[in-house]
Amino acid sequence: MADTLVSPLHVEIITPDGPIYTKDGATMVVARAVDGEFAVMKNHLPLAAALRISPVRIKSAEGEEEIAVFGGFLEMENNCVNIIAPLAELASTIDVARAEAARKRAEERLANRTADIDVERAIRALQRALTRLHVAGKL
Amino acid sequence: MESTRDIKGRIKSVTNIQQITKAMKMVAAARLRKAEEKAHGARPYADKVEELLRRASSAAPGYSNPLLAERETKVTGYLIICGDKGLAGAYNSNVMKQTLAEIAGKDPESYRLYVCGKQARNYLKFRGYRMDSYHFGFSDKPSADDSIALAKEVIGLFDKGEIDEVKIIYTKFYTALRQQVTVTRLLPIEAPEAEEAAEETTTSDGIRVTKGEVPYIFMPDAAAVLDNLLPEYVQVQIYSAMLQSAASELGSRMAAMSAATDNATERIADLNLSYNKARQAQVTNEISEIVGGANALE
Repeated sequence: MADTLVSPLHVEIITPDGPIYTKDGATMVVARAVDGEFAVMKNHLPLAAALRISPVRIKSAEGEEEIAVFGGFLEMENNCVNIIAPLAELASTIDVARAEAARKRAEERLANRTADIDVERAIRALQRALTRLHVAGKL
Repeated sequence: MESTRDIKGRIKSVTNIQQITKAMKMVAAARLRKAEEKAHGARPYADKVEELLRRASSAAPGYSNPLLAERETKVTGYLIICGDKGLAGAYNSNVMKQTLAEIAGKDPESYRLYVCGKQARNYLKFRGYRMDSYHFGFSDKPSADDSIALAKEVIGLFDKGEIDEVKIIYTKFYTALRQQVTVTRLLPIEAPEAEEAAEETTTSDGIRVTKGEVPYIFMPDAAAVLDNLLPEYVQVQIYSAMLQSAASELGSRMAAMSAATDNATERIADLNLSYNKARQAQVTNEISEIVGGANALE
């Protein structure tokens, strides 16, 4: 595990396709758990949280970064924050046009609901699209 | 004896085949490397999910979930991970052999087959087995989305009680030359084993802490984390099986194509020998004809 002698928090985002993001020296990580938003800082007790589809904010001396995290878990122990998510995207890899289209589609579905629409699924799609757009700075 | 022209034609066709097998071997080798990397890249995620599951379930002793519930097994679902393409040595037929061994002698109503891979479908269809679902198009390049779809399918069926147990048949990848067909149970999820030996680390403040000594704070609580974690665990297992199968398929194909290329080389050498023999015989023949003709003129 990372040696955290110099840096307060070691953050890693792990997806099934491997770690997509690592950072040493974060000061705070803000995420949204199933029951609400929370933040962790240095020396937090071991923590495991189930996350919602939402951007995760990572603050450090250089500023703040946002990463789209689609569900999964945040696990923290000994100042190592691991975000274990089935899917996560960095701002640079987000396809804005596609996210915009997905958002429109989901909003239309929710606006004119009919019996054959899976509302839960449309809501999730909307959440995903909004998260992407938010992280890409288009919202 | 064949004429020199016939033999020449055969040499040409074997050379063409050899070029194809050589190209296939190289393609398989390049893709195998990528598949191996991918399988390797998925490990940290799988390990984390497993660790979290272990710790969360020890924090919630009374927790129960339909995915954990053992029930009398009336119907077993088999998730079969096989290849889309042939020419991969015994890869596909090994998976099929294992499948048939699993279901041999069972009442067709007591199992369901969920098949991935065109080769498996063709094989089972030809032999008249009923398939309950069929997926294809990702055998040598599975993505996480494919495994999510499969996980949803089997979890859904298990939840509805249509199947009481789910087993996955896939090919475990050891090396490019060694693979093993493996059958593991996916559902119900087996109770995770006890915590392994604690490892000690030192924090930035120089405090020695033992990993897992301080229990996690769960948000919102351990049960909620587990509710989300269990389907994820199933999906991770399917994904890792798919990645291993993909690497195995490419490994098998590489080995098979390498053997085919070697055989072609051997075959070309044999044919060259016969060609030269036939050519010599022809020359000898011609000389004796000329000599015969000259003798007749004397």
